[in-house]
Amino acid sequence: MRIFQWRTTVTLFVALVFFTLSTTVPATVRAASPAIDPAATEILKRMTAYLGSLKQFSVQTQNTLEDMLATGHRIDLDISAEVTISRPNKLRSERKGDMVNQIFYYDGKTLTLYNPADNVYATKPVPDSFEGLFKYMYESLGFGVPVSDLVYSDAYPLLMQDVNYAAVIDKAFIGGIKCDHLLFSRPGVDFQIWVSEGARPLPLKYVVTDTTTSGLLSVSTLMSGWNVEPVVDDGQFTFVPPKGSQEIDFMPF
Amino acid sequence: MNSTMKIAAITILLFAVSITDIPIPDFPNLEVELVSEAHAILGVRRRTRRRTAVVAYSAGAASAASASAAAASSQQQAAAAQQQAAAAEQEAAAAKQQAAAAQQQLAASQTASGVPIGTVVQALPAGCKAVTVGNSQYQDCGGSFYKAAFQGNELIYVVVESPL
Repeated sequence: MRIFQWRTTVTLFVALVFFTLSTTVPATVRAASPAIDPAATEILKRMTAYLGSLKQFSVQTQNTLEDMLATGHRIDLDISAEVTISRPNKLRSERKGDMVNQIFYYDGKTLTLYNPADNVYATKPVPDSFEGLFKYMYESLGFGVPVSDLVYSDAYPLLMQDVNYAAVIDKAFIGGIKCDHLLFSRPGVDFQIWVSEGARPLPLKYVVTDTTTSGLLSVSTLMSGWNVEPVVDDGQFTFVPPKGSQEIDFMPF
Repeated sequence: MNSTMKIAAITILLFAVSITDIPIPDFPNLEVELVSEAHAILGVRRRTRRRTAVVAYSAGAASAASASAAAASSQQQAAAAQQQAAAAEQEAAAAKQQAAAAQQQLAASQTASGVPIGTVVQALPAGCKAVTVGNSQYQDCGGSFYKAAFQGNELIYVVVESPL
């Protein structure tokens, strides 16, 4: 009888230790080992500098948002986009996907959001720089441009903010192109970037993971069809209301 | 039962207890929000909630929610990769909002012409007809007038005073 009680106590204790370890160890390991591999930050720096140096570029993106249904089932939501950027302050993005069919125009003075299926659009006068535009959009309109991190002319310090872990994982191939696979981590967020090797260090894939929950849901973006010398016509950044289209408002945010 | 099994069983039990200890959201009537709460990325969680508040309570809840929106906007200074996640996350929130809107729509049809001003829905109730007054278009849905607008980058419809 005495032995049985002793066993029960040990069993309970071991179970408790397992439970405690399983819930606390990942957090402590992350926090206790801040390590920045300069090889990783060097590649990120080259990529952001190269993107910042491009006067114009266009790229196709495929965004996949991992989501959880109320039923507990894991699903992906996908959005394809075609993005054209002309520095210093012109951007066009056409997005199609689950629940989205939208063209975004920014001509350096105004922003227009157009839903072709409903033939409605809204226009706002906005700041004349990308940085000003994104800030205005987040603060006053309540949405963002998914490619904004490609557009910032000085993205490196933004991406590195609060980063406490950076590593080169390995070489990888994305769409047949050899890349460096990088991992960066900051409290709450892990992000991976695949950067093509060679003279054009372009991002070919992003994965951003929310590490604050056990679900570890991610948003990933595949980038293909990079064109660093696109033929750009200023007209493509300016919205001309099609016949029968209706102007609507932005709700105050 | 051997002791290994016991250890496993108790560990699992402890897990179950810890997992079920989920905080109750502010709007328990919207069960669809529970899941998005679980994986929100920084400011988006609050923004999503605010948007839900607008859907659920129309203008009434706006003042309380705008405080959290202000907090959210300060967090939005976070780095670009996070912003990308946030922007994308918003799309995911749309799916849930749609579900919420469907509920709202159900309620709306029950109250026929008595839908409160400021109610926001993602889809119009059945049987609406377009009405143009001046330069503005409205949808007359059984005596309730809806006006299209963008909330963030989502097309929604707001119940407004009769323009006629």
